[in-house]
Formats: sequence, C-alpha cells, structure tokens
Amino acid sequence: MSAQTFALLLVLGAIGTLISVTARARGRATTLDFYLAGRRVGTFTNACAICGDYFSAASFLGVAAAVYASGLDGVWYAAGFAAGFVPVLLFVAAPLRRFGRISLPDFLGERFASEQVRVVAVVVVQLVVLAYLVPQAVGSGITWELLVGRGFGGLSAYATGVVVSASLIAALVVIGGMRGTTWNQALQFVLLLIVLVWLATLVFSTGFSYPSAVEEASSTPLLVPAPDDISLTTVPDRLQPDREAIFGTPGARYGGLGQFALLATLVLGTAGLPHIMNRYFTSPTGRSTRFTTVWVLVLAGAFYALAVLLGTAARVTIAEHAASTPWLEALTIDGVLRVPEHALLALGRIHAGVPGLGLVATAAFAAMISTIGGLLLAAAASWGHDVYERYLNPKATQQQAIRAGQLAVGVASALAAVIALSLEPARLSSNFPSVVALLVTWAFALAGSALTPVLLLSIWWRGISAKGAIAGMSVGTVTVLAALAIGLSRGGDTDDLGSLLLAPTLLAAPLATLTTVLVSRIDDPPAGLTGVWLRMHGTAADRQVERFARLAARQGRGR
Amino acid sequence: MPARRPDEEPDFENALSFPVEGLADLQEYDAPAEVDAAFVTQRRIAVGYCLVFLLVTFAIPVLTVSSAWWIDSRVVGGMSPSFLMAAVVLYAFFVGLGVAAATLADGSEDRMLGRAGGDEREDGA
Amino acid sequence: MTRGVGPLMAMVSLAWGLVWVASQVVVHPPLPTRTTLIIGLIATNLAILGYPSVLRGPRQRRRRRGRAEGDVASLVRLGTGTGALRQGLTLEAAERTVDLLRPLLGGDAVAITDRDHMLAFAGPGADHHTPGSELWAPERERVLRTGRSAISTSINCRHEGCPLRSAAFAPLTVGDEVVGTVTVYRQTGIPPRLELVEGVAGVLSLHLELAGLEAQARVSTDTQLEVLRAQINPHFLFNVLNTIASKARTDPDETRQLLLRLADFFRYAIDQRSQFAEFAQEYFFVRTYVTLEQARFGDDLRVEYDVDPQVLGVRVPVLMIQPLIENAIKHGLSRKVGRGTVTLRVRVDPLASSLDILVRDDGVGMDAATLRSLGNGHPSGNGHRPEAFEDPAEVPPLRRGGIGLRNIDERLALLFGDRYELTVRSRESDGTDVRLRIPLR
Repeated sequence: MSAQTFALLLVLGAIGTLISVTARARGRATTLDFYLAGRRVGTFTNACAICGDYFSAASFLGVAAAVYASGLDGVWYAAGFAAGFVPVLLFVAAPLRRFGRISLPDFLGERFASEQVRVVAVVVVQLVVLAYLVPQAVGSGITWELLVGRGFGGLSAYATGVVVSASLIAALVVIGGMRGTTWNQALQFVLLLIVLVWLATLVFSTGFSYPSAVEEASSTPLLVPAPDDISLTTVPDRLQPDREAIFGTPGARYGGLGQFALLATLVLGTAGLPHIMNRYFTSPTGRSTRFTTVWVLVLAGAFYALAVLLGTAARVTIAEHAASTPWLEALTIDGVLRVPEHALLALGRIHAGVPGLGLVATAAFAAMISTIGGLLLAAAASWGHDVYERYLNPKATQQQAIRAGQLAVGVASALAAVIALSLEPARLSSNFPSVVALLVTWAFALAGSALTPVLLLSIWWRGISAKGAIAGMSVGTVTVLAALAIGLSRGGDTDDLGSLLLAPTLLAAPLATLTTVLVSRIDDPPAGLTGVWLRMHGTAADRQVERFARLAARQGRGR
Repeated sequence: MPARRPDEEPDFENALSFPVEGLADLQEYDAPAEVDAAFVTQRRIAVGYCLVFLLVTFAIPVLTVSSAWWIDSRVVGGMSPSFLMAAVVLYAFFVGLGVAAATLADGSEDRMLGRAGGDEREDGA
Repeated sequence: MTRGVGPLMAMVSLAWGLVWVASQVVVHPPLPTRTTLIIGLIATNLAILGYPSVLRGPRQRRRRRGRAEGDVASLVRLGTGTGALRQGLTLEAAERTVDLLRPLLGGDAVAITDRDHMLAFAGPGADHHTPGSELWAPERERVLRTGRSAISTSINCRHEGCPLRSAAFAPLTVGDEVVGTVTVYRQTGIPPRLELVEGVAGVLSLHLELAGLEAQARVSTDTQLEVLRAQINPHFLFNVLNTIASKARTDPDETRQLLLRLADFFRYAIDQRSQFAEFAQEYFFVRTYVTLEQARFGDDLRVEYDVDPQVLGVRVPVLMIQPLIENAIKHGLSRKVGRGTVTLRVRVDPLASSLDILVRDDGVGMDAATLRSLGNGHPSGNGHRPEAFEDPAEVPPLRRGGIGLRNIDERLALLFGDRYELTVRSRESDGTDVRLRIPLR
C-alpha cells in the first residue's frame, strides 16, 4: 500500500506548497495579505474555502463514523454542522464583514472601543482554536495509524501521524499566509467533495440501494464493540428503555434531552468559530458574504447528505465483507469496526483496493490540513494582530507582525500536538464512539456559549456594554469548562444529564446571554453608537466597492 | 430646438455631465436615520426566518420524543420520516431558507439604502 | 373577494396537500387521523401567520427603473429654451441665485446668463457686467454651442480695469438644449474648481426643467402629474442653496453631498412618468428630501422610519408621501421650540389588500377649529366617514396650510374613488397624525 499512498500524499503536499508559494510570489506580503488574502476573494471561491476550513476530520471521518456507530443519532452531527450556517447567514455574516476588521477579537475590541474586551476575546478565541485543533490532530493520528500502520523515529504510528501533520501544516501556513491558504482550502474542499462523490458512485455501482440499506441495517439491534474488545454488545434505546437501539431509529446515543442539547450546541457553535468568522472578513462586501453563505449551505448540504449515506453504506458493506477479507477481519469484531473512524477508509479499500484507501486517506488529510491551517491562521491573527501589534510592540513593522503570527502558529500547533499525544483515542473510543466528532462538539460548545451570544448581541442590540460583553464571555467559558469537567467526572453521557453536560450550550448560552444583558443594564449605556451602526448596518462602503468594480469592469471592456 | 418625439427620453446623463472626478465620485453616504430603518427591517427579517428555522429544526427532536409514528413508520425501504428528514430533506430546507432570507435581506437593503436607480443609471449610460 | 386572499387560499391548500401526501400517501402505516388533523391545522395557522409577515418582500435586486411607463409621458415637453429659462429663472430669481452661489462656489464673482444676455451678476465688476448687457466671452460662446463646460485662465474683459482674471463656465440645460450658463470668476489666474460649478449648474438645470414642467401644468390643467410637480415648493431650491452656502467653507464634503442629493430630488420629480411608483422609490424621494431638510434644521429635526420589507415592492401614488412629511415638518415642527420628531410608519395588510401610511409628528398640533376647517369642502364627499369620529378634534382633512392635504385628497379620490381613507388626528401642542389607507394594486 505504502508506495501508492506516499505518492499521493507527496502530490498533495507538492500542490499545496506550490500554490502557497505562487500566491506569495506576487509582491511583498502585507499583514492584510497574510491574514485576509488582501480581501479579494470571489463568492464561490470563498464559499469553498469556508467549507475547506469547516469540513474537518470531524466532518469527513467523524460524521460517517458517528452514523456508522450510532445510526440516526449520529446523523444529528451532520444536521447540526450544516444547520450552524443558518444563524450565521441570518445574523452575523453581512454586519460582521461591513464592520470590517481583521479577526473576531479585533471586531469585538473595536465595536466596544475597549481593550479589555479585545484581550478577553483573544483568550476565548485561543481556547476555542485549541479545542478545535486537538480533534484534528487526533484524527490525523488515527488516519496515519490505518494508512501507514507504523511509526518513525521510535514513535508509535498514531504519534507519528500527529507530529507529521502538525509540523507540515504549520510550515504551510507560515510560508503561505491566508492568500496561499484560501486557494489551498478551496482546492482541498473540492478534492474532499470529489472523493465523497466518487466513493458514493462506487457504492451505487455495486447495486447499493439507500432505502434497503437502512432497512437491512435496522433489521437487527445495533451492535457495538464490548469493552473487552473481542465481542459485540447491544445498546439500550435511551428513548424507549425497554427495547434495544437499532440503526434507523433515534435513541442509540441520546435520550430526549440529549437530542436537543447536541443540536443546540452545533447550531450555535458555528457563529462563534474564529477561523470561520475570519473568512468572512475576506469577502469584498457584506452583500457577497450572504451569498457566500448560501453557497456554503448548498455545499454543506451535499457534503453531509453524502457522508450520512456513506456511513450507512459502510454499516452494511463492512459487515458483508468482513468474514471474507483478511485485512478487514483484523479491524473488525464479527463484522463491526473497532474504531468507527475507519469506516470511510475501509469502504474505500473494499471498493477500489489500496488506491481507493489512499485516495480516501488523502482526502482525510486534506480535510485536516485545511481545517488546521484555518485554525492556525486564526490563532496567528489574534496573537500577531491583536496582541503583538497592539501591546507587545506597537511600532512593529509589517514583517515583524507577520513573524509574530508565524511564531504563534508554531506554538499553537505544538500545543495541540502535545495534547493530542496525551489523549489515547483507543482508550477513549470505547467510552465515546466517534471520539473526533465528540471532541469537536466541545469546541462548538465553547464557541457557541462564550462567543456567539456576545457576538449576536453586539451586532443587534445597542444596549450591550463592554462590561456586559466581558461578563458574558467569561461566564460562557467558565460554564462550559465546568460542565465538561463535571460531565466527564460523572462518567460520560450515560444519561440525560450527562448528555447535557457534555454538550452544554443549552445550559451555558442562555446563562451567558442573561449575564451579558444584566451587566449591560447595570452598566452605563455605551455612547457614540451612531458611527458603529452606520458602519455595521449601512451599505455605503459596499456600494462604493461595487461602483468601483463596475467602473473597472467598464474600463476593462473599453480597452 | 431640435424636434423631439414625445416618447423620447431626455438625456439627463449628458445634460448633467457630472465629471468623473466631480460630484458623482463622492463617497457613498448613509444617513443615520436611514440606517436605523434598514437595521430594524433587517432585524425583523432575520428574527422571522430564524423562528422558521428553529421551528422546523427543533420539530425533529420534538417529534422524536413525542410521536412513535415519526420513528416507526416507513416511507421508503427502511427509512422512517425521521431518518429521511435528518439525512436528506433538512439540507434542502436549509438551502431554501438561506436563499429566501438572503434575497429578501438583499432586496430590502437595496431599496432602503443608497440612491434609487442611481447605480443603474451609471450602468445604462 | 379581495385580491390578497387568492395566494393565501393557494398556500393553505398546498399545506394540506403536503400534509396529506407526507402523512398518508408515502408513509406506511399512515399517520392516525387525529394527529394528521392537528398537524394540518398547525400548518394552516402557520401559513396564515406567515402570509402577512416579514418573510415576504422584494426578492430581486432593483432593476433600472421603468421610465417608459407613459400614462402621461407624451405631455411632458417644453417650449423654447430662452422662454423656459425666463419662466424658471426670472431676473429677480437669478439675482437671488447669484448672491447665494457666490460664497458657495468659491469665486469672487458669479454670473448667470441666458443665450444672449447677462441675467444677473454679483461681485467685483458689477459696475460694467450689468444685467441685460451683451455677452462677449468666446469661451461662453463655445459652452453655449457645445454644452460642455470650460475654463479660462485669462479672460479679456473689454472693459478697462476689470478686476476679473479667470473664469469657469458651465452650461444650463433643459432637456438636451443649452439655455444659458453659470459663470464663476476669480481675480487671480487660478480658475475656480470646475466640478463644483458644473454640479451647481446641473442642479439649477434640473430646477429649470421642473419649472418648465410646472409652466406646462398651468397650460394643460388636466394632467395630474404636472399639478403634482407644481406642489414642490418653489422656494425649496433657495432654502437648500442657502443652507449649502452656509456650509460651503466649513464642510466641502457635505456641500457636495447635499448638492448631489438636491440633484436627486429634482431628478426624481422630473423623471416620474406614471401615477404610480414602487414604494422603495417614493421612500428614496422622502429620504432625499429629509436629508436636505436635516441639513437645514440640524439636530432639531429627527425622522424615524418604520418600514416593513413587504411594503417596499408595493406600488403607491407618486409624489404623495413627501408632501405629508413636508407638512409635518413645516406646520408641525418648524414652530416648535427644540427638537421634534417625525415618524413615517408604513405597513401592508395583505388580507385586506391595503397599505397603511402613518405620518406622525410631535409638533405644535392644531386646535379643534383649525382641524374642523380642514373638513370643509371635501371634494368628493366620500373616502371618509365623519360620523365615525368620537373625538371632535378628529375630522377628515382638507387643507393644512399651503398645498398639502387638499390636493392629496383630490388626487386620492381620482385614483381610488371611495376606496381610501385619509384621516387627520391632532390636539393642540400634542402633535398631529395623518393616516392614509389605500388599496394595493
């Protein structure tokens, strides 16, 4: 396997590097170029890049794995990830872009004209980025484990995967900046989608029928590996405790409250993800961000519908082939995968042999590379721009500021790698099927509770004050961290309360909102909002940009 | 005076002849009251669509908890209404909602801010 | 049956059809009858709730606005050029204009001419550039011939000792004919900035064109649109130019902005070819007007707009909302001490198929007698129901100083027969509400 796989990986790496370098070659990079791609990115390209940022290992391997392991309750991940962009479209995209700063903390700091808000936001953003980086690193470790199967330099296979991907991506970001990564992200997303479509085509060409696959998978109770790792066990249905969970009905993972908790967490989380929101600053106008988001909804819909389909297909197909295929037998117990994240990879190998595995693995790496790249840039932007340029070295040259950002990239990726190495996914996954998707949920919970309420209020409510925003972000962060700690110490999401504590947005977001409103009420009402409102909700700047664009187009035609 | 057919439009572009570097090249400008009005309207649109979004999205877990039919009946093959909704229909709904909200927000903004037909006049010249 | 009900019936039918298909046809086993009925009822109620809600409104980006909608297009044409200039810009008006323009345009002297003679002149050299004198500058000849503005760094006045050295000439045009010029002179060799001169000449040209249309209205009394345009306050131009002149030195950006808005204002009034326009366009006209008034009154005048998105695409009678706002400012607020607020609130009721426009000011209001006098001589005797008003201080309107309500009432009666309501509600020192309810078309 390794020869072809390595060839593919090399090609991918080469393409990525090439694009980064060519994009960089166009003149000296300014900070605006580095963080925001010079603000000249088309609607569809930007939508693809946002998808590239967004569809991480959690989406590509994790959603299929969640569906594979838990059936319909796993589908919630797909639905929630896609749904997250609806609030973004309705409430955030256009005003955020119109206000037009460089990063989320930059936006909040400028909106409240408060340095404290900026600093608190930087801290929260770093936490979110870190929480999101870890599952990506875990995902790359898992993929490496299956793909290459061995480690280098005395490290385990998993550890090698973590280290290699973290350093490779950090290098790419440092070299390329946002201009480079925008095209990288877009391209990597296209690769991802092509692989999914290709896999779906292969699956259908073997006579697969979606409805009957669901029927077949639902015909017997859902089986998962038992803690002893050699036998299978059934799962009690959490909605109807008297029966066993089956694939096509809800209840395998979440009880009544858990269903709501997960959905709320994913829906609110997206609007607070710094690497996604930073992308919106790269759109030319507020209007274009709306249609960018519509495109994202289209692409995300297609992507997740396919991921769910493939997860279902994996459930049926792997069970069929496990007994007769030696390599698959090693990964499974009686036809059920030990690590559900292997579902798509195994599906690729079943249908197209080793090259198929290589291609799916390449796509998985592409997903991780693009997401990690976006996250590292978000980290770099908030350190380099919001902290270094403002506090540490206010007289910094462009080059120095970029260097600070690059340093932040290195530190953040190293930190994520260390945490990923300290987690042993094999140990976690017996308690939590689809560990990657679960870890990402925590990042969503943090973003959705600490950042989203304050972000929404600061765009749509005049009464919010700087103190209110700080209180809201702090309460949101603390509540989420506390809920996660209590939830984990209680032994995971074994009951409704556990599910709520491990997807705590339903708890923390209202609390954060309430705190923000109450503190803002007590605090003096902020002054001088007219200018902020003109900038955030007026379209004058948009119209100016559009007019110049038209003028340029006309002059272009005239020549 | 040259004879003009009654249906012929007066040529304001040439008659006015604002030079490119002159008045027409001004920074676009929104008055605070106009932006306020647009803001309130946009907020209504966003909240309205958000309610529809929440209603439909959270109807799925509500039905899951409350209705056995939602889980146990079959639409096609082994797919229950619940499965079909979460795995396929919901994404189409999101796209539809997104297009509806984006075009409405855009159309309203376009009419509530900026010069009525000003840009088109430039284009049509 | 009102037109608004049809789409709702279709929506309700569609909702039930969908519920039926989704719960009975494609699913096995079908949903029990009782649950199906409940879901259907919920869907119906949601459809009714959603029908008049903010989820509806204009979807398309605005296209080029329909100019060729000619109800009355054929009537809007002008007489000969010089005549038009004379009608629009009398000698007195020209005198007043040059006085206003002199500080605005940054020149030492300003002149307005028609094709052959000097009409008005202000500034050094007024002793020999007298009104009625012959024109002599070759640059001006060229401007009159070509319609393009020009600059001269060395003018050669035939009068000895004339202090003027440089000048900028911009054409005054009506339609596509050059009817005169605006000239700005300086005593140095550096000519005035041409763009500003051109901008002001453009605004004056539009004003002339509008004045021409008003003159047309006096000749052909049966064309409603001309009557409407005639309502536009002839002093408005001078009021605004006055304001602009006072800001010219301190805030050049705002000056140019205001000139542009003023041009927009006149252009909109001129461009109307139909009795109806999209509400969004009328709204633009109102905003333009309010911006100009706000430049005059500053922070003392606040205007709040409250407009639903579904209102924006509705077609309303042209040049109707702006006079209501103008009345509120002129009669309600201008005599009030301190800050005043005008609110424009517009709502659509798609079920009743009507549009509700409310203009409210918190100004001086009027006493019962004045209000009653508005009710006298109502033109059509319908469109209002006097017996419906319990409060004696609330009667149908007629006329509230100047132009305003009587004209609007007449016009509404002409357009809608008795299918409209126009009510005025006022109390002394407690503001005035003017409420207009018209059918959607």
